[in-house]
Amino acid sequence: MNAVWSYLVAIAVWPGLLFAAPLGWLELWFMRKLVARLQGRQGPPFFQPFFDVMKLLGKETVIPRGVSRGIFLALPLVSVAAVTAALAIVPLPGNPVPSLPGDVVLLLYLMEVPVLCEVLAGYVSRSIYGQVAAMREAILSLAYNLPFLVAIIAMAQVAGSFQMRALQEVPYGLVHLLAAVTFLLALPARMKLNPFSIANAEHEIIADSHIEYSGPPLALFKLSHAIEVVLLTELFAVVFIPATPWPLVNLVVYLVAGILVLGGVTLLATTTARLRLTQAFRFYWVWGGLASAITMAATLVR
Amino acid sequence: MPYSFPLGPYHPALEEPFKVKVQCKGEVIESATVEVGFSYRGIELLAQKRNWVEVITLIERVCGICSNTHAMTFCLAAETIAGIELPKRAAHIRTIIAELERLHSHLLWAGVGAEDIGFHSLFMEVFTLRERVMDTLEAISGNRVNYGMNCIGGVLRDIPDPAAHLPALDALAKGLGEVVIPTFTQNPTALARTRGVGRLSREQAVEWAVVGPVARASGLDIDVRKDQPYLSYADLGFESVVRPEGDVQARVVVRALEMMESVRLIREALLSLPPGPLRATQGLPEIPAGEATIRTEAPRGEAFYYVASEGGASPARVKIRTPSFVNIPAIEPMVMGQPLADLSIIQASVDPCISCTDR
Amino acid sequence: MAMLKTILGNLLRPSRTRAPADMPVVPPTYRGALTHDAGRCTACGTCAFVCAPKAIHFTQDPGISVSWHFFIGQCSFCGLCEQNCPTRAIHLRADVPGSTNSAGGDGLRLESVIHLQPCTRCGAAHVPLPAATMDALWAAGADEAERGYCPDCRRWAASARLRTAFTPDGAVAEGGRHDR
Ligand code: SF4
Ligand code: SF4
Repeated sequence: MNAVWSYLVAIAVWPGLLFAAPLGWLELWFMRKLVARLQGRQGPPFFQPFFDVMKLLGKETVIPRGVSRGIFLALPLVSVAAVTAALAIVPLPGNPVPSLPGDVVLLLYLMEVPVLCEVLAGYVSRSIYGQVAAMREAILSLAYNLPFLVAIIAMAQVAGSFQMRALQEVPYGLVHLLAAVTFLLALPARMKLNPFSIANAEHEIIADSHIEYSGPPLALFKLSHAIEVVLLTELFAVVFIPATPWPLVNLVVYLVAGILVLGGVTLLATTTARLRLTQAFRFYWVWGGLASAITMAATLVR
Repeated sequence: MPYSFPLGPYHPALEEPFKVKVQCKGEVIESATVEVGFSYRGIELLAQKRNWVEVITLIERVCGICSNTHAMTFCLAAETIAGIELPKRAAHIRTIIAELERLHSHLLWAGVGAEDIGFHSLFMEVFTLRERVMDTLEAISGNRVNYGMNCIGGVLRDIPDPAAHLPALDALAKGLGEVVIPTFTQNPTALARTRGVGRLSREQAVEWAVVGPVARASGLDIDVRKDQPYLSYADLGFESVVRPEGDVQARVVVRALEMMESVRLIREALLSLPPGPLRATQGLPEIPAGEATIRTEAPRGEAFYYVASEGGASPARVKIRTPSFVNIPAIEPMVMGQPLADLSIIQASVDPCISCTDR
Repeated sequence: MAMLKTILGNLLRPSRTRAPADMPVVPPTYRGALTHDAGRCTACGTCAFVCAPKAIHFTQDPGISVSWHFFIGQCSFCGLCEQNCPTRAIHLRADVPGSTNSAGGDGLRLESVIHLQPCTRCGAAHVPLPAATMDALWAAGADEAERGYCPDCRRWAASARLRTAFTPDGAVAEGGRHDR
């Protein structure tokens, strides 16, 4: 199989769109169901996230007056493309893509693209609510990216390489634990969950930065979010969970780990109120900063 | 870059249409204006065109939450004009309904407050508790809202089996004491969103003439139930709850402790329900010429009624001043200099009832 | 950590979401849609008088019948008509669902035709008193003839009785047929 084909397969099928979209929907359903059960509610049926997207696909696309049509429609597409490409780099068992030197950097860059798209989506919407959401999203990303990036960079530091395969092969140690904690710290904000659901605080600013989006473009943003959830959980699993020599076992372990991580952040989200932007920022720079410093120190001490 | 940010008239944080328009710089609010009048119905004028029986039904619809307060206060005014003495049993039943209504209003508020700080789980718990109150109200009156309990001279429906409602009160006290109050006062994220937020000092509270829980959270000990006891409050003994801090947290605490006091009042009133008639008069009421002003403590503060009669079939004038009418303007000093994120919880913390305000 | 305890407890308990079949108990005091018993109605108009949203109104077919009308879309289920009806002709029933339709819609409409009867004395069409009321008024069986009288003739009969009481010799001749 030549390289082009392997990339295509990775993006379109495994671990890309064809696999990630259903898994993302499953994971979103799991989170919603868990929240509902924790709150003593019934919760949505299994196919609800899928229904949501299908319903949006069938709806009219409304483009606000005075908004550039091209950018408005391109943003969700770019967002989906970027997360899918990012997922294709993650060395899940059976991923046909060859590992490149420096693919960690590419991955981190691609992971920022959906955030960027959301910020832009808010800014181009010409809605004050969307713009405030975009501003919040941008500021928040400065906050949570500190622990997030440090967690990955610390692993790269230990591995001595910016290659995903190398990260995976680092012998298990203290840095794994510390970096995992640091990574988990950033996760609720990255997923826009409580207490960091600041950019999508419906009671403050009505909705998130997609406020003016409707129909298929909104469905694409939802899809992008679903894939991002898969990407974040699987990235966590691949980097921080020790691999066994059996790919199939690894896969099962990774999937279970992803669900467990989601259960954890969901539990946090249901027991907390939404923080203010400044509080979240302070939290990430103080506690996230502290965790980052300890993690980096551990990589040096080793 | 300063920008203006409209909260309302339609916004997820509001149950009813009103508008707070704020000027912000970054995330900080620099000035605010409050607009009301989106659900004006002209009830005061309509009341002059309805007879003394119909007008109770009409007045009950001044508000969807504190409906009983309005009908009850109006009836008290009419009774004062006509010199009707309320039977003791009727006074107790009115007190029970008024306090149940306060409970469900404060629980509604607590739910909305929880939702405004993004605490969905707390919202669910609070509304589950509120359902117990609504069920009790429905069991007594037949309706979940607009109970239709009051008539001039007494109440229309009896509480035949007072002890049947005690388990609901126990469940309520348990839920409040074990879940709602500890979560609001101990959960770090809930505290982060309410402590020190939207302060209204004692001086400002006097200056803006706020009433009810908002005033009591700013250290003003005013409560009609204590200052000028009506119905059975003097018999039951009533303690007002006052906090000096003046922030959202204080308003939460005042309302929470008031709910505990309400539960106590209802329990005592149910246990000591005196025998006797439900109504002092029979048939359609006849109100002689005269006028009366009555104050009662609605869930949101003092409700003021002026009713004048010229001896005809309808009241000559019904003037209604609702507590939200004086509390809503105080949102302006509260939000000044606060982050935009706190706008929704601050406006919610005065428990604005737009339906009452617009009448 | 009250919240954590609560939500973990929720996880173990069954859901609080109610299924459609799991209807809450309807209290006996519930005020649902009303029913009207034309046989007891005297068309006195009290119910229309106390009804703030004007859900009840009357139409007339002069000399033949009076119709009592109710439209659920305007009803606020206050129950005042039931409370004030002197002959208990109206009931708000707990087993009939209340508001289900909008004011502009085509919800429940009730119409009761109350046929006028000619007065057995003067022949004027009038609303007959309900049988129960008549039994209460003329329980003793005295003046059985008055049962079919119109209100005016009833007044005349009462007046005649008074007059006989004061002038026992019955000096007054038959007369006093009122104007119609
Ligand atoms: S229903 Fe009752 S109140 Fe209404 S007209 Fe008939 S008798 Fe009178
Ligand atoms: S229940 Fe109230 S609103 Fe309905 S018809 Fe009777 S009086 Fe009118």
